[in-house]
Amino acid sequence: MDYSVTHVTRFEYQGPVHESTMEVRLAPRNDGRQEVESFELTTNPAAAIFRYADPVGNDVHHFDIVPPHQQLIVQAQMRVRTSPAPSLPDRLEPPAWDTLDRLRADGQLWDSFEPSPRVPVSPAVRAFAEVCGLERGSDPLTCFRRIVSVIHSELVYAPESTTVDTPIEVALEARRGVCQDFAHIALAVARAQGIPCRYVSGHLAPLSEQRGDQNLVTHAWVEAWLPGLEWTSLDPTHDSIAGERYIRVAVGRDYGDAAPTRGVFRGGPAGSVSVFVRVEQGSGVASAAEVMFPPPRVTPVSPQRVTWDQ
Amino acid sequence: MLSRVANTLYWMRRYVERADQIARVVDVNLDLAFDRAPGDVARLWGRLLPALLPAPAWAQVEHARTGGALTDLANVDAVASCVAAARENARQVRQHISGEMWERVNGLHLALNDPARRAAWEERPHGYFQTVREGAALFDAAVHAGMARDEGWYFVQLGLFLERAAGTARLLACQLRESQPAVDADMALDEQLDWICLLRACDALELYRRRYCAELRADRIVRFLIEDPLSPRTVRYALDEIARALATLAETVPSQPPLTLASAVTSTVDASRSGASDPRAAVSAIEAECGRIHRTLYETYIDHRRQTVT
Amino acid sequence: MPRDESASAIFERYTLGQAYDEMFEGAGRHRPHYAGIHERLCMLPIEIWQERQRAADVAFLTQGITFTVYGQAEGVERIFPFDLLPRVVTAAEWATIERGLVQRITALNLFLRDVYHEGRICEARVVPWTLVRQCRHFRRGMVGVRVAHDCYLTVVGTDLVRRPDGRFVVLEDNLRVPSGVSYMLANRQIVKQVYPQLFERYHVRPIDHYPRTLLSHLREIAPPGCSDPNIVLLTPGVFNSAYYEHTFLAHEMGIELVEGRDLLVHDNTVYARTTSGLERVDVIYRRVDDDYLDPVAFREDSTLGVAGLFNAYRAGRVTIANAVGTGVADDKAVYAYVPAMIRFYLDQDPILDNVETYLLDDVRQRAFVLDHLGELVVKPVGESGGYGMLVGPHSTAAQRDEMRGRILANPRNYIAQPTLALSAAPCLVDGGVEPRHVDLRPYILCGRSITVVPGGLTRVALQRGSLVVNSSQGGGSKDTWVLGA
Repeated sequence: MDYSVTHVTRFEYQGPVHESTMEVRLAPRNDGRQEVESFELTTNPAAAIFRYADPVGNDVHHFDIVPPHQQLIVQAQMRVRTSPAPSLPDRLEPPAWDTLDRLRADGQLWDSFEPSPRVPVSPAVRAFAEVCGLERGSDPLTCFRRIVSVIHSELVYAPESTTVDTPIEVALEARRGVCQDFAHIALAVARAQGIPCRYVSGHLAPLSEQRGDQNLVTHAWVEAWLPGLEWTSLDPTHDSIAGERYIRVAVGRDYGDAAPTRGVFRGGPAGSVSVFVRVEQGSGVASAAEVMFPPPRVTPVSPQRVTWDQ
Repeated sequence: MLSRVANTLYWMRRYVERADQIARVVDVNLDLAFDRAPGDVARLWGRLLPALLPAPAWAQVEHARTGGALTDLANVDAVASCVAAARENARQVRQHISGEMWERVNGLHLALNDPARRAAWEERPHGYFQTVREGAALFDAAVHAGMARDEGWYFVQLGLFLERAAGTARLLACQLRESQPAVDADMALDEQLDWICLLRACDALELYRRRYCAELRADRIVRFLIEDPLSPRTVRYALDEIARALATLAETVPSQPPLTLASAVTSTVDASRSGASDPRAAVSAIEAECGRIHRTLYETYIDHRRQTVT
Repeated sequence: MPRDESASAIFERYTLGQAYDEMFEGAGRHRPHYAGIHERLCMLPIEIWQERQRAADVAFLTQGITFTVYGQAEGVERIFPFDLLPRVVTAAEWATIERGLVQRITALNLFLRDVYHEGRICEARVVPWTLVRQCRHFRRGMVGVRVAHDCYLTVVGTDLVRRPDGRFVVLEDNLRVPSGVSYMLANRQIVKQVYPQLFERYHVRPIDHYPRTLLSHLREIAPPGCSDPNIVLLTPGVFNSAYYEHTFLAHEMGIELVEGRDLLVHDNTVYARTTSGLERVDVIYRRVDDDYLDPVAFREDSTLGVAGLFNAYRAGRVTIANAVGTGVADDKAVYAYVPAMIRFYLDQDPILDNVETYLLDDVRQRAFVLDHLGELVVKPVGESGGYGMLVGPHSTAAQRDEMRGRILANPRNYIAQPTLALSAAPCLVDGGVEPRHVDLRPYILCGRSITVVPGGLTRVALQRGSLVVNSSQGGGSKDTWVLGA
């Protein structure tokens, strides 16, 4: 499927800030399961944009803006072609668990097996898995699918019920959260079983009847590395395979590694961030006029404090 | 040199000068308070203190209006806090100043906070201000003896003379608000005391008498304090030093645009000699110019946020 | 020398134990290379020695050669206690040490490059990947990053101890921000004033080329295309306990001492904020830990670093010395594999041995250690300064139980070693000369080539019988004399 995506992040500050340094993960991955036909990043105020590939293959861009400014707009426009997800077998044959255990003992796929800052080892997760009867079972694919399914049914998707920093125990306790929480909890349960898996951040192209619902577009799901299948993507929020409608932008141990933007600046009190995303089917590019407008979600951002005048 | 170091040296010197000026003014006025009527003393402090102390500190000295409370040393911690700030700045640039400079400012700071000495000063406040004046004088001597005349030296000089010029101008403004320096008018005793205190606080009483003889005339005193080039504590002297330091900096740091004193201000000061300019306007212009030089100094040599790199 | 020489009163409290004694090979028999010192000690009255020791202490204080101990709010500046009697190493002994250190550092540097690229040593199962990845100081961001001239290590401090049989072995490597060099240089200065003739006679090898050599190695690793690199020393600032050393080194090398807030990264280039404007920086000799270097790449609450520094480094626009991520090689568990690294990368046998080390992540080794806690020294793998360790023979049952708990909670975090009888050297104590345990920290400087500075810091455990030599815990130091051939 061909998609064109416009992603606009707007930072507004209460007072002028300066020396803003930012790193963004907004470019979709070019990794054989999808093809990036074009990607363009612009900022206002303008900045020179630099680029590198991080150790997990995310396409990272970064820039800085020195002079004082009270607003920063980061706009990414891209055209991507996704392919349908490969069909999955019913199950994997027995050596599958042994293969994973051996990989783990060898220290392979380390980041995907081990706990991470937002996906810690947690008694609450263990308790949840026990209560839901989530255990290894016959093979890791079945296990992984079950985990995703159970989380989907046990938790209520509630937009804005948590923030990026909410620990997973809170969402688990309340049995509600946003896609990030669904993904983190799935990772926690799966890793506890010894399944190597990672966080995926990206976009979910809306179905026609969902157009206009911002909350669904920016999305997070998970993928597990399974013998014979390699990276297998499932969406705990929708209990589905992450197929053609899923545009993969960044992967990592958890949200922290895949955050769309991260950065610091000097001066100014707290500001706010708003994000606007539009995913259009086909290769047309959204008109500039449609792009610049305040969207629904606003999250407070705390500044890097440094002052050195007296 | 590093901008931070230049900035820190500058502020170190400004704070010592500020502490010294407050101590001088309060000390000489305390001395002569006995010669005044009590109501006049209260009015005096009410007038002087806002000129000396920045707004927050002044708010804490509210009951100084009654005249008695200046002896309460807790109220004049504005002085101690200037010294503490000077010392903190000195510590940050310890390797750029001489050992003696550090010992002087640190020693003064410790003395002002020594409980035994503070108890003695409760009885005899004159001792407190005397300690500050002596400490500042020793620090100044250490600066002269111990600093190489390099870039750092000129920032120290600018700190000193900008603070002195602005401080003297503020005191003059304060005095001029109370009285009109009418030519040949007889002054009431109180007013005479005010002018004597001002001259003594500026170490200029004898120099004034040497130039103009013993007769106190307000218009002459104002003129003297503004434009006499020979007396080290007049505005004119300070402006000359500032100009000299700015010129040397311009030579030493040719990559930055040179700073100069506004010609309007220098000609206003010169015009004071003949009595041609309105002293209130002159004093106001001087204060404003000191502020402008301070800001421009900062923008040119210290804060590079507005610079872009080609 | 006649036997009764040592009966001189000054040595009356000098007892020999199981440890190797640096000065005496037997009762009353001093080693040949200590003859001059022994003669002086017997000759001059103790009062002279005490006076000289006091003069040395005053000299340290006046020169401000202090370190800061942050127990109280203000921080107290202390001099690092200094013992006037030099510790002597013969030319032959040093030759072995030097060859051994060059070999070891070469292997460590290759290990670092390997572990952040192909990982051949792990793929070959010589060093387990799990060990490397579990290391707190492994920096995933460094995977695949090209480092100038593949030179990860610029300044290394390797701690050596001498066994009872007289051989030197390596206790640990310090590869992140090793300190103590300023004491080494200051000690030498003081000692030259106290023993000018003895110093000449002994042909002690000089060390004052340290700052020049370091500077020249830093120049060598500047980014390509840099004809006259601008080098700075990045310090955490006045509140850091080693701040004096930072100012000293910057001054001796003639480079600017900067803090994080003095630097700015703009368009992937590092600049220093100076009164002349922004000046490009090419090489940063940093004394700030990885975690605090860059609030975008690492700890976002760090105010000691520079936003964007790591990306500029990754792009090869600036060199950072020591490289980011070297801590993976000075982890005390990885230390146990250094002899294996030497064999793997250099196809040689190690010239300097390790101390026998038990890795507590291994079930059998852990069981053994837990059974013998009273005899062993247990250390956390990632710490320095002697913190968090248990010295078995000197511990209480309560301390051992506490350590047992910590080990069981996180076994990968600990290693154990047999208690070493560190060698002892003569020290001026209470009006006489007594033996005290010492170690040796030579400094190795690397750029395109490796320079081992002859001698280094001899650290002394000042309390009788104590084995803890660290400055923050009551240690002191001596000048180290490496004799010319």
